Amino acid sequence: MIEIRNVTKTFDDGKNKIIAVDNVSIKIEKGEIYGIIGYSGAGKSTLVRCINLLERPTKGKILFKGKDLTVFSEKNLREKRKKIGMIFQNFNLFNSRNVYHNVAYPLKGSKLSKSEEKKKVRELLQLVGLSDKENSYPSQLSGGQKQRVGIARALANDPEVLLCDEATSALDPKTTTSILKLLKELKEKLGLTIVLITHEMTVIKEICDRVSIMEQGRVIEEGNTIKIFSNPEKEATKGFLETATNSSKIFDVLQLKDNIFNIQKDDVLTKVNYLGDCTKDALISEVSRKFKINASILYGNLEILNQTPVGELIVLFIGETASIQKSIDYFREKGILVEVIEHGRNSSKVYTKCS
Amino acid sequence: MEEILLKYIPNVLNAKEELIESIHETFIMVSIPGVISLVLGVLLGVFLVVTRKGNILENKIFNNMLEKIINLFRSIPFVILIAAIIPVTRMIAGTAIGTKGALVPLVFGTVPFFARQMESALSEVDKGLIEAAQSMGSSPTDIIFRVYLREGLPGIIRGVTITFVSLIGLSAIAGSVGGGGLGDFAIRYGYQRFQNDITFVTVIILLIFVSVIRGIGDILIKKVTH
Repeated sequence: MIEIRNVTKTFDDGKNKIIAVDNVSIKIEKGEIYGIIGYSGAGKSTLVRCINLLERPTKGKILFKGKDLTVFSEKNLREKRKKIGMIFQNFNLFNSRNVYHNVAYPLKGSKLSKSEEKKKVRELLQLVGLSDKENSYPSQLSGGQKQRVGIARALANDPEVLLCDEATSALDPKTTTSILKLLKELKEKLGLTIVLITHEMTVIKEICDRVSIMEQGRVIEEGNTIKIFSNPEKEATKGFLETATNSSKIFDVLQLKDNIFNIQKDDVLTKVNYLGDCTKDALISEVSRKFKINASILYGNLEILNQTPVGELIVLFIGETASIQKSIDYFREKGILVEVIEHGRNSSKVYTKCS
Repeated sequence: MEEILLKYIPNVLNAKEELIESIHETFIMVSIPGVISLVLGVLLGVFLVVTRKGNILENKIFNNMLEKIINLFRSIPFVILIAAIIPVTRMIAGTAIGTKGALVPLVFGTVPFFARQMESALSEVDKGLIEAAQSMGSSPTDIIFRVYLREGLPGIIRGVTITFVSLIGLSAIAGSVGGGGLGDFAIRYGYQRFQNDITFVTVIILLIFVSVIRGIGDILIKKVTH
């Protein structure tokens, strides 16, 4: 649906040259929700503005349904933009217009008659659940309601793509969830393709099919959300994942001097990541019985991403060194990632080979 | 009643007809240049904003030129401006004296001021709204009329109010150099003949003028702000 091909965007004010987007290529398929995550300044907002050419790429192409938007005339580009809706962090509603006229704004020039326009606006407001707010002004609405108006307005010209620029970043967690739910519904109902920019991993976790992680203008990791969550490769990605879970806290606790878990020198501390099918197998008790060791779960976190469970456990193995090794090998055979963690009390002979 | 008036403002009663004529002249000197400046000022204000770097009709050369011209006129004191543009005034109005001759300098004095007021009013329009309009496929003309002039309306009205109030001030200056109006009236009678009651009454009338303009402005702003 959209292909960002080798796009670079530099800002040059004569003195400083800033490379906001650095040779990024992303392919977004029809009907998927594609997430782009990064810290502020990573270039993700610039990148999403390159898609509808609010920012013109310095280099590279933007293909929308196979056609390169960067070579279009301003007039043709404006027509194409009507097929690419956009919503914003600050909603950007027209304060001088009420809800009805905000939604009707993009319909001007669409050759709809007054009654058709009315019908269309009412439909859109119903779609986002704001039928009763037609005559309210933006200042009378809550953040979540404002974003719903923003969504209705962005959908007025029946776009095929919806760009969301930090659309939930100004909202509280509960409202965020309801807006994300709405986006997911719209995707199903209208067959929308959604590109979503965020700095919150929880947003990605909630609705994205695929995700790119951006850092300093570059995409450093890309893939299926489940894959990224269960097996991140880059440090920055892991950093984001920790914001969505508590696992970093458990490491802090483990580093403490007073050894609250009473870890002995021959015990082996591991981080165990698993996903999908193996969740249902009682593996911990299985190895415990099979290899005569004790396995103590110090911490666990389970996410459901697109109906797939993704789990992370911190497990302390207590027992004979050889048996522990066998248990870990058994886990790995089952397709579970096991990483041995230094706990500062390890005896030297124990495993340093990590997965 | 008449006794009281006679006691406190005897000179005003003597010059009653001239006072009414002066009010009329001031009204003309404020309304005609006011309306002309409104049109030109909005136009220039819009140009100043949209041709700025990074805006929808970015044009560095045009913007620079406009800036320079506006700054030039803004930096000339009004009394001197009246004298300086006499040839232009003669060309446009046919005369450089009287109320008619005051209209041209008043326009020249007001337009740059009002253009700056417009510029600041339009600059207050959130950049995000322009971006949103662009993302919905709005053309530059659409953005000017449906976003800038509409969303900036409270600021525009505030600018119009301030401009009209300052125009009253300028009309008094224009009056003192031969344009007639309340300023001229107060100078000739109140100042030069030491008829203080005339100065006092003129001040009251001007105060009423200003209050009415302010009042209308405030009502309109309230009406367009949601």
